[in-house]
Amino acid sequence: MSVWSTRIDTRAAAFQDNAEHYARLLSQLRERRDRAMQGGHEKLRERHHERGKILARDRIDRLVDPGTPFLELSTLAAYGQYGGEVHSAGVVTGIGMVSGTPCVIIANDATVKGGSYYHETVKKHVRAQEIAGQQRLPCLYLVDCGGGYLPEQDRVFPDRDHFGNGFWRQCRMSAAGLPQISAVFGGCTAGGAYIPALSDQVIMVEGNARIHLGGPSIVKIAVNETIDGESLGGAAMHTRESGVSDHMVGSEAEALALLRELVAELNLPAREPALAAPAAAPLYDPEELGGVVSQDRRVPYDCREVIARLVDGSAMVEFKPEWGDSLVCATARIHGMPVGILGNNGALFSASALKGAHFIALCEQRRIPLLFLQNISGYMVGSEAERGGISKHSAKMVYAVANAQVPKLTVVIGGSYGAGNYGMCGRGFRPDFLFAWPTAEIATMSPDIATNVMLELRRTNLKLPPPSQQELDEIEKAVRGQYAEQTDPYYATSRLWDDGLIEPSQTRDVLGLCLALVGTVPHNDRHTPVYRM
Amino acid sequence: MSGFDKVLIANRGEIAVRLIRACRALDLLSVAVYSDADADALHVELADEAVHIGPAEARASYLDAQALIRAAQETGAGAIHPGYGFLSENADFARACAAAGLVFVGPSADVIASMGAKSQAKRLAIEAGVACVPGYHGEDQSDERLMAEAQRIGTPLLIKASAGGGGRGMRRVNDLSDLNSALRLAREEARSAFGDATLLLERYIEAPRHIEVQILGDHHGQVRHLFERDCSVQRHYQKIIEEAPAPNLDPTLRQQVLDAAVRLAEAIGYDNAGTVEFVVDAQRGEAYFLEMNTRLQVEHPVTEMVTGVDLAIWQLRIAAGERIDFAQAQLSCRGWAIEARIAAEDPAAGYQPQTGRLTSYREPRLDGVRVDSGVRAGSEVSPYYDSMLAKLIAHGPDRAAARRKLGRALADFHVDGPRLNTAFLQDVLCLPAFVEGRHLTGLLSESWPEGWRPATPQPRDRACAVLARHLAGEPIGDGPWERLGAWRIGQTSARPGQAWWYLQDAEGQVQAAQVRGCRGDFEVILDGEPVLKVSQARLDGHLLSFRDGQGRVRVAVALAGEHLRLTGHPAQPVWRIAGSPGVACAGQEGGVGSGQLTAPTPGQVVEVLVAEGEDVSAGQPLVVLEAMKMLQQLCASQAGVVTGVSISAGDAVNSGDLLVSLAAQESE
Repeated sequence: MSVWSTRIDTRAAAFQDNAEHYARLLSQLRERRDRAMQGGHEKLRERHHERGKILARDRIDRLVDPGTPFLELSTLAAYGQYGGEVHSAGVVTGIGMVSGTPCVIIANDATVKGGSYYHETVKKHVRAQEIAGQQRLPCLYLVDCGGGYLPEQDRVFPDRDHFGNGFWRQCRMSAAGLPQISAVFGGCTAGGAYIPALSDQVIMVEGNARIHLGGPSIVKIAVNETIDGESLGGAAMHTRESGVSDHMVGSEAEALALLRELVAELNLPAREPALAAPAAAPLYDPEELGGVVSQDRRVPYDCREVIARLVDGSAMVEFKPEWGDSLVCATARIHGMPVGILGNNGALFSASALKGAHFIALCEQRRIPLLFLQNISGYMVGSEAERGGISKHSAKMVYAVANAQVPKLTVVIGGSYGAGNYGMCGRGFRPDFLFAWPTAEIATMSPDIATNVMLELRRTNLKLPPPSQQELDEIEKAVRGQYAEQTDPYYATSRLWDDGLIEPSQTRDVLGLCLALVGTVPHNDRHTPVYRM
Repeated sequence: MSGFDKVLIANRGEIAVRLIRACRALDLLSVAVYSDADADALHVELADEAVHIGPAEARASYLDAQALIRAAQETGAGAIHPGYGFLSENADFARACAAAGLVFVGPSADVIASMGAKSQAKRLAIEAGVACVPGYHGEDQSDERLMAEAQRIGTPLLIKASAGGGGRGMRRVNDLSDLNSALRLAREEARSAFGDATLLLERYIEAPRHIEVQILGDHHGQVRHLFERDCSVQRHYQKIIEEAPAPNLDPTLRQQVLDAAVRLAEAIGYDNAGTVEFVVDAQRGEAYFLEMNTRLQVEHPVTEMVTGVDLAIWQLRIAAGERIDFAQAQLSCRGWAIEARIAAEDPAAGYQPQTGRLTSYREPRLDGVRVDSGVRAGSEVSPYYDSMLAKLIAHGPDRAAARRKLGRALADFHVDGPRLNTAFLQDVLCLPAFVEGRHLTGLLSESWPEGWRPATPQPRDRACAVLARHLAGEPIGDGPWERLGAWRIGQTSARPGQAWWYLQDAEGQVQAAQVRGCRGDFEVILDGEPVLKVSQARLDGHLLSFRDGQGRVRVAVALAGEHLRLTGHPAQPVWRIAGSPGVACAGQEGGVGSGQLTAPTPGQVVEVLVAEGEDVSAGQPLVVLEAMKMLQQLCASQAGVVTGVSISAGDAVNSGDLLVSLAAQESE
């Protein structure tokens, strides 16, 4: 492997300008993330504590093995929607080590709208389950939710990937040998009741936990029975009478301790050992990444400077370095684990697309996970490109991405436009994990081109009279406004188009954590469902 | 005197191990003896042969002269080394050995006898021109005579058992009006302890130091002294820290003492290793003969360290008839040596002996530190014998160096199992009077009139323990999930990584501890209270180090799985520090804990095992119930008093019926 020799001068004005610009983006990200991670309003958090309850992220801190990471996903889900109040979409999801076993953890935050399921809550919950299924991780549900958010029921309940999907996945994962365990901290009514009910094992906290298909008010209406919540669905009743719950504990801390013990007893098949070499830090400080990436999208930067700040020892082996140079392909290691990296250095030409397809095939043959570093305006247009068969050559790369069986990770660094998004393994191509930097922009095309396209459509519209300049100005303003809003990375992460916004300097660690999971998925050929008795 | 090729070692523990090594150095075969309690002991393993001599009680094993002689004869041993304690100063045993044709490694029986009775010993000392503490050692034991002598000697004075030793049978009298009652008690003690009610009276020395002289004599009339030792650090008249040479001893007085010891040994024809003990009145600058120990002393290694003479080897060589081959002038005292006796005892609870298995055992390995030990990991400390397990002997160019080295060695002595006195010994080494070398035999009682107490662990100590545990982690691999620590997405701003540990003390109290931060910068929060904020924290083996408001801090710890001992702390606190607080098993709660035992199933009461008013302990069966042709015992889940029995044998009960009522009792 050759160590990359940087051409970046960290004292140069351009670097300093970029770094300052990125610092502002980072402080905005941190501010928004900190607010989201606080959870609900201060008064609600106080009331939560008064009830002997622990905040969702604090529960996770107590659940995971002390001194080990928790890879939280989509922290800014639902950001800016619903009046900006549904922080993190009211649910914390991620992957953490519990009793030495990596587990997906799904924790409702009852201080955010009572932990109700909004559209993004469902999407985040289901996405976490999808990751559990793909990476063969047990699911631990820290349940404290009021079920679906009724005013949004049409966006929460009926469709294929809505609320029901989460339960379907619970059943299917259990059958596939992935333990599903719930610790119930608060009310679980109606749909919420099925999270524990469909779990292999259930723990309930005395006093606060409730499970019932219909709460006291519904019971009163439906069967005219007057009963209090504790008698109807409390921990004692469910643990000692109905058997819906397997364990009753006196406090949340005990519930989390017991959950740790249950995970310790899972007897899961061992994960494949990661093919890890001793890890070495990059030669160049990842903190420099903010200065490497141009603040002006039109000013190119060398994506190898980015790679050099992500990989072990800043060392890589480039594939076809002198051919199709707008796509950098290189193998390297991150935290000791091998990875095949595809990074953009400009628009994709036919040669770049063929090089990419070839490189993906190589990694596939060698079982090396793929990492896509997206900053792509798209595949090349123009007559020269078309005559050169850009459509079929780009299709080869898309085809290779879609069919590659090796794990795939994507980081959206800058633009992610059009078919470039496909070829570089955008969300539609199901990468195992997809993260974005605060400089990411995802759209069909850039705002400039989109505006031109829309103006041209209006001009050529035969059903309408020729447009006035004022109308064209309004169209331009509207399109630019729409693109400005929708290409904002917060718009994207709010809608779960990614698994979270991350800081450039965090990227290496995040990718390392992911690679250690995707590279260790155990084989499974057993089907062993557990039915709640 | 005939030679011998095989030596039976009539002892156990560290001295038996020490003597086996001496035999090995001389290419002599060794035979260990052991009681039932010592079948797996270290000395049994190390010796060339081992013979079982009886049950655990010393009286029927290590004190059974016939069993020992028989063992020697059966194994073909030509000599018996008695070690110290047990039969080492028993003239009858020495005679029995001789009668059986065995060499007794020690002075002749007559010498032992002459020094064994204190009155006779003092008379012989005075005849040899060795000063004794003013007192009365006469045979007239009438109250009148003793009162008259007491008046002559003056108060304060001491009453001692003539046949006593080790402080037993000793009694101080400050006022002669108390003399009669004190005499009565002392006689009873002397009779029960030694079978001899003879008493002696002595002046009580107000500023006493214990100084003793090591002697070697051979069968050819030669006597050498190997300088003196100071054994003034005593608890209950038992030595715990000894050193050679004696600090701050006037050179003239020192020479007087050495000369006196040689004179006495020559006068009685002393013919092996022995020790002449003196009490030095530090106020008057005078030394008085106390007694002579006709055996190897526990503290002999300090003399060996400063003189380079192996006393155990010389005991064997002299017993084999060899001549001492060095002149007095060839001996010199080099540097300083201090010994500490490691005992399984609790100095904070009246030195109560501690028993149990040494689940882990690690001796210090330091240049200039000798460890004489009779135990190893897995050894069982039984209640039958002396609580001393090992000795640490530190040697340095001067006293300060030796003292520091011994302190380090004590701090690096790591044992799990019964509580040891190491922290106490460390505290003793730091007492100002000891540091200056001006301590008297009253050092401990004056320093700790209420008894020694280890410093109580403070929240900061607990926080250090948690941090060390956190840094030790539980690495199960070297991937990022193991190496990144408590990584969090929000750690670059308001939400750093946070690890939850649960710290459980010996009383079972659990404290929750949060460790925030990563990469050397940590904050430790105990039960919600910030306690420690540090940077550059790391753990190197047994040493936690970090920087905080107090500068660079180092804390010694010992980690064994989930258990961490703060070895740097005098109280040696041990905590279980785990990722879970420990979950009480369901079924261990409820039931009788609520005061009522109810029938778990319908059935018939077969037997009621308790009656009203009876005390019951946790787990004790209360009722036997038959259901579905199965008998089941219903037990108390905690201690309590039976306040009511609602059923009797033969009753049919339904599930949930009250059977027995209990009033819960505070558990200890």
